[in-house]
Amino acid sequence: MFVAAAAAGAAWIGFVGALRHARAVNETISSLLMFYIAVAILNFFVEGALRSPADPNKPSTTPIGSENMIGVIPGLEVHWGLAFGVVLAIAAHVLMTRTTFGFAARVTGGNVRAARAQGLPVGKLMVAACALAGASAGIAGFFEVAAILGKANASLVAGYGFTGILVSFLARHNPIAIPPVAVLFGGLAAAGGLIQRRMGLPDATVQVLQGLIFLTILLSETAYGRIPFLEPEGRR
Amino acid sequence: MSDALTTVAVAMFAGAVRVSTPFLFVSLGETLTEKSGRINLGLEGTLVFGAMSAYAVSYLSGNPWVGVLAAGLAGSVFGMAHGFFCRLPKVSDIAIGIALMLFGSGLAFFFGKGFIQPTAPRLQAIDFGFLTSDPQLKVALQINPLFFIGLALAVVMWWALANTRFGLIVRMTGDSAATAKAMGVSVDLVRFVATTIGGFLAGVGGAFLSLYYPGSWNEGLSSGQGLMAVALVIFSRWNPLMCVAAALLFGAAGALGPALQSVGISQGYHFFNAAPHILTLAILIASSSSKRSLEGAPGELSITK
Repeated sequence: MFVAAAAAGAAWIGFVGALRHARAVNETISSLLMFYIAVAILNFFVEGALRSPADPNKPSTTPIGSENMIGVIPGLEVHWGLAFGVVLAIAAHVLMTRTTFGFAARVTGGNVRAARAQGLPVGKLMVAACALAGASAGIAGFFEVAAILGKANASLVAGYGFTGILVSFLARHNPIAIPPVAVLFGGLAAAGGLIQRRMGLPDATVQVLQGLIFLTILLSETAYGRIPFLEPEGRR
Repeated sequence: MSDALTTVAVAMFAGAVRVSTPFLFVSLGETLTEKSGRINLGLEGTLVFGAMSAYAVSYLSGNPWVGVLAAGLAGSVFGMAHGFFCRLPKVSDIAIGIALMLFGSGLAFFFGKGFIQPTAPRLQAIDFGFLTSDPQLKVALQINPLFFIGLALAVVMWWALANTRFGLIVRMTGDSAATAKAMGVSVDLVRFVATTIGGFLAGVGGAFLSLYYPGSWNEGLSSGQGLMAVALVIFSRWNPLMCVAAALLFGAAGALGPALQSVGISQGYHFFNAAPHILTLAILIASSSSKRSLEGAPGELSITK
């Protein structure tokens, strides 16, 4: 199941990378389109071949069964996905900063022409990076199904992907910084129900708050190096 | 058999005209913004917030056109915000766009809670049914005035981008900020204005959603129209006239699923729902080439660099 999720994600986004390389199809658009196609395929299976007859109101697949579910970390109420995410973040960090692949990928990202001039296999690097990114998104989906829902249905389409892009921006594309940022925003999202019950505010409050935080942090980028007081000692 | 074919064709025509208007408005606005060298991915949020404010104002004032205007103004505020934020150094227009998308739809849901129940006065369609006696076509020829406004706007924008001083300045800013600066043009101001107008148009597109088709306000109103319109801009090569064609094509493809269902073909229904996206992707793949860059692409645009 884990391998299938990672492979499907890798193939899906790897295809986007391949299109980008082979036909120069803009990856922003093709990935957006692939998102809608993926949702259609999900709906096709969930409401069609894989639909569970036991659940007439909300179309879902047959549950995978509790023996196939991922458990929680002992002593915490958190499933193993979090630990895996931290490991993956460290692995990504090592991959990007300590290996030739990471170096080549960063050169390609910085300047394609320079990378070509150095004889780097730009196309392969692009496809591989896209496939790896897709695989991690696929793994996210795997944990969502195997640790939380126990089945696949339309509530998987909850905008994790779009928030994920912003989390990556906020972490300044640094894998090590991603887990804390992700936990912060996951916590905000999870607080939605509580805000609704305790304070009588609509659950969209969380979305407004998230948007505001994103805007503030993104805008604070502009202040870097501009306020001498906040600069570290010696760089003033 | 030919009966079924006609039904499908008419339904697709009706769908193209009915569904395409929000795409048309958003993609026209985005074309102008991108021509000036910035990309505003936040138009999805602008669209949703526009839909909400149009519905609310139409309900409170009793006049749908006031609602349309309010949606446009609310949209321009979002456009202004994007235009203002992105002129600060080191701020990514793509990231700000996604953040504004979240913020805009969140704000719309926040303020729109109270307007889900009441019914607001809707925009009236212009009836061209007298042109034909066919009952199916009669229904298909109920066309909203906003569609024609969109068409006219596309022609005007196409002409203005090519033939006016304003159009030249916008294109110059988008192709080379350094040149614009050398000519004494304020790059930030041009982009600010272009993004504001883009936001206005996206807001009006949202007004169409809540005041005409589907014609009510709820949280699932927009199914990514704002995002898809951004894709359509690149698909139509930053040409306002092509935006019309792309929006119509997208609308027609979207109507394919329900149309086939109405004549009894329901196999693979979900794939027909994704037909517009599959079609756009296929055309993009077929029309792109790694040998040359996209024709008409603004040189300063971050996603085409």
